[in-house]
Amino acid sequence: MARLNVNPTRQELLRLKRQNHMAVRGHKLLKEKRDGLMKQFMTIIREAKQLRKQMEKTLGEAFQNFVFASADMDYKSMEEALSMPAKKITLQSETKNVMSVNIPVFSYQEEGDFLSYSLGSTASDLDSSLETFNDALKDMIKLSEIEHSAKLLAEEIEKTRRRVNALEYVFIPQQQETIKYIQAKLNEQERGTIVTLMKVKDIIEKQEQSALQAA
Amino acid sequence: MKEYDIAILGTPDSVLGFKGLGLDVFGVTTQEEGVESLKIIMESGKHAVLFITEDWAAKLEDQLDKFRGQALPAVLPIPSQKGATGEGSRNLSKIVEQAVGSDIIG
Repeated sequence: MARLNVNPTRQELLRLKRQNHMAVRGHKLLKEKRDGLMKQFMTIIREAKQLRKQMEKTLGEAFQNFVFASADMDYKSMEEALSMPAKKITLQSETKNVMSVNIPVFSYQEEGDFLSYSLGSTASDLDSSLETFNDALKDMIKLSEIEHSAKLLAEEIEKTRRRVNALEYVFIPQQQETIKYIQAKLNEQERGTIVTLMKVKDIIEKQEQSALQAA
Repeated sequence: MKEYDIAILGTPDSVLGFKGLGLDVFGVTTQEEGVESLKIIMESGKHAVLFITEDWAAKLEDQLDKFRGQALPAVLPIPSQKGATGEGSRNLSKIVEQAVGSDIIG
């Protein structure tokens, strides 16, 4: 692991030590965030899986009914029958904060009835198919909310995981390596100074002795 | 609180039924129409949910990817009248793969 390009001084060492302390704490927090997100994600994805299966079944039936209905009628009159729906659906979207991810919560209101066409000119299959569509719609909206949440959570998990890994495998080891390097360098300097001092003392002592003998 | 509509995109004869339920229906038959309609839906900001039939979801995959980062609308692939092609489940698996690293729910 490459160490950082800094001067081996005491000031730098103190700064790095502080930074390292912070990085370790951040790493711990992010790891917890990742685990929390993952837990949420797993419950949501299981729910989505189940709901999708159910939705695919009901919607498949509804489409089949609808195909039969449209086989009985020509496209023009079908379009005519459905062109002015009396039913109106409005959707409200709120956001819920899950571990700093804003996930949507949909609620919707229905107004009016979907049976707004002439019963004489339409096939009876149309009624039943629209009814199944209507039933399926509730599941579809719920599923879109869940799947969208799962998508948003997945993006956040990916980001958090990258951060955790970058801290764990690059940032923190680099700092520790550098701290070690600076400490070694400083120790070496200290030993160097002591040796120099001892040497100087030796020389001075020798000089004093020779001066004493000469006298 | 803002109110939104729901949009649905697919081949006309499969999505027409939803018109009776009060959804905004975008019936498309050609690739260009699909791309154009998708752009309108995504950029209007009127819709919170977009249902798209699986066959069209596959055809418009590149365009859909462009809008992946957008908060709304939520895009949901639904089976068309030909039945489920598995595109929706694949989409789900893709999400799991992104989060976990491998598809663990199968």
